Amino acid sequence: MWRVRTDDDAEAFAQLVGRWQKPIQNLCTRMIGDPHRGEDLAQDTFARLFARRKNYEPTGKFSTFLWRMALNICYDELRKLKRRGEFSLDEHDDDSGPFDLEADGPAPDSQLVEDERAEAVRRALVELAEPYRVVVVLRHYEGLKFREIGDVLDIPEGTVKSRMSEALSQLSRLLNPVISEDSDQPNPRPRSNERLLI
Amino acid sequence: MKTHPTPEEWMSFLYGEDSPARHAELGAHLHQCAECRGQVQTWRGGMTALDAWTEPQPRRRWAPAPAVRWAAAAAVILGLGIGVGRITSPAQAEMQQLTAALRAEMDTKLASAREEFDRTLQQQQAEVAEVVQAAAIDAAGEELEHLSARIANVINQRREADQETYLAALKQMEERYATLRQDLDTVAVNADDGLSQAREQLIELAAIKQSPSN
Repeated sequence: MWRVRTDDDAEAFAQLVGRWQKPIQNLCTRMIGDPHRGEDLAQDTFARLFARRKNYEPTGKFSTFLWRMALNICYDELRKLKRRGEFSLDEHDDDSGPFDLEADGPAPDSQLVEDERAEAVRRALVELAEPYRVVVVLRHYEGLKFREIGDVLDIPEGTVKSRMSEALSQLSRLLNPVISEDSDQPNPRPRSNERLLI
Repeated sequence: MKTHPTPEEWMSFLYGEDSPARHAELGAHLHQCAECRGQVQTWRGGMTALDAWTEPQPRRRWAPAPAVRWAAAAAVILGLGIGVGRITSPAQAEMQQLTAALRAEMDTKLASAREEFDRTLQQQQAEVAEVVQAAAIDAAGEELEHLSARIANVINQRREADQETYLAALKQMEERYATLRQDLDTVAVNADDGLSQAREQLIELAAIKQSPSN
């Protein structure tokens, strides 16, 4: 980021985008509940990052700077959607299901079940209040430590943990049917919370 | 462990952010305490459910299958055919008459509107011209006042200069007059002395002439 900030190094910026595009896109998607909008918002984030590269202070962590910028864009988008009354749970009930069907993936019936579960989780996350949703997304999906989430959101670590426990309680209630099905499964899928090294 | 761990501590436990020693303690407590076990089970259920939404990928934008595209092309061609057929049909004559009547009516209204527009435009142009003229007169008046002031200023300056020149010439003339007068006084004094001397000489001469006769 330092090369981008001081030298306007396009190649360095391309590397940076390549490194962070997926995590930022996933964050935006999970915050908004829409993969396409998530993709657009991730692009907006990198456009804003380049436009405001001079604002980056090397004393702070770049990841914190970028997560915060992406979240601000998500909040702006959520405000816009709410103002226009477009933020609804039924945004993705089209014929193709929430996600692409992979040709070499599981059988169609099990894929359908997985898609339904994924859609249920998406809806449940969208139903969570933003302060809880952001903590869940950053900790559970993006693998940030509670302390790092506190830095990004500028709140104490204890508050982050408290919100996480409340969010998990709410999700447990909202996703009770999915949990019940999962408990019947012999081998539940492992969690994907890879740590993002900065 | 007598007291129950806080939810914050359980979060560190569930996400593996606590120390190994603390983790072991909490694990032991969990084994003994049914209440905490139930709560942690609830949270774990939420965590497991969250994993059902794997890495989200943008859906493909809807692209019609080739058959659908051919069907759409056929529909367009069919629509064009129907349109051409309707244009060349006998009912079209009536439509053309109606269109011509509408066109004539629209032309009349347009001409009327254009005349009205021209009148309004001319009126507005005249008003604008008046305003401009008044503004020009005001501006010319101001300019004239300005010029008059400048001319008066120049005249005053010239007058002062002339007065100074005149005073200098007058002073010079006065000096010359004083010199001339002094010279005249000298001449007069000299002439007076000459006359006195001549009279004395005449008196002496007269006295000389009278003495021989005596």
